[in-house]
Amino acid sequence: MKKKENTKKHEGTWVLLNKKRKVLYRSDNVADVFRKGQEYPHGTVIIEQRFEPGTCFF
Amino acid sequence: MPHSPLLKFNFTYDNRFGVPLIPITFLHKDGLQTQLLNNAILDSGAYEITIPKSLADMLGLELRPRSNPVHTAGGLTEGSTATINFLLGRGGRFVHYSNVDICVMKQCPAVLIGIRPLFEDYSVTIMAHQHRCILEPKE
Repeated sequence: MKKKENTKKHEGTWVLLNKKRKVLYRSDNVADVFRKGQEYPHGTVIIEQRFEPGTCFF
Repeated sequence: MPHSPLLKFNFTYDNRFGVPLIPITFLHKDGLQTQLLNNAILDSGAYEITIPKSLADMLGLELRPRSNPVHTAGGLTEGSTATINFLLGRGGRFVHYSNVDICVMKQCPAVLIGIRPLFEDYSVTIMAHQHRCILEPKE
């Protein structure tokens, strides 16, 4: 059986998603993701931050 | 800090991260809208909206020095002040805020939506057990 590749360690914190929530682009640099988002028609994509579950913000 | 008429919002959020999240759209200095940021953190522990410096630079915001350092949970850090326009909401229901002073920090782990202006304009109810936050315009 083919071992599933673990891609988690390569994930960026910020992601650009289409309406089906497919990741189009990801980066640890928030500005890069916002900049990439401008390449798409307005309202066709959204930006999210992927927090590690259990992350504490104070 | 002008804004368009306030709307009542009832935001549900993904609870994987355990903190209340709201949708916000920033505007570039030239007025161009960014894409929607779907999960800014609603943070009653923050005095004002706080964004990473890299985002402020990308938006073309003019940074001004702050008279005092920024107190964070991790200690004192340096920050700047900038003035920003943004839209609160999603799905065609938006409140447009103009000329809002915000905090800009180089080391900023997230986009934080603090007391000014949202908690001043809205009664905010966070229903963590339902992964929902309700923003009711103050009378």
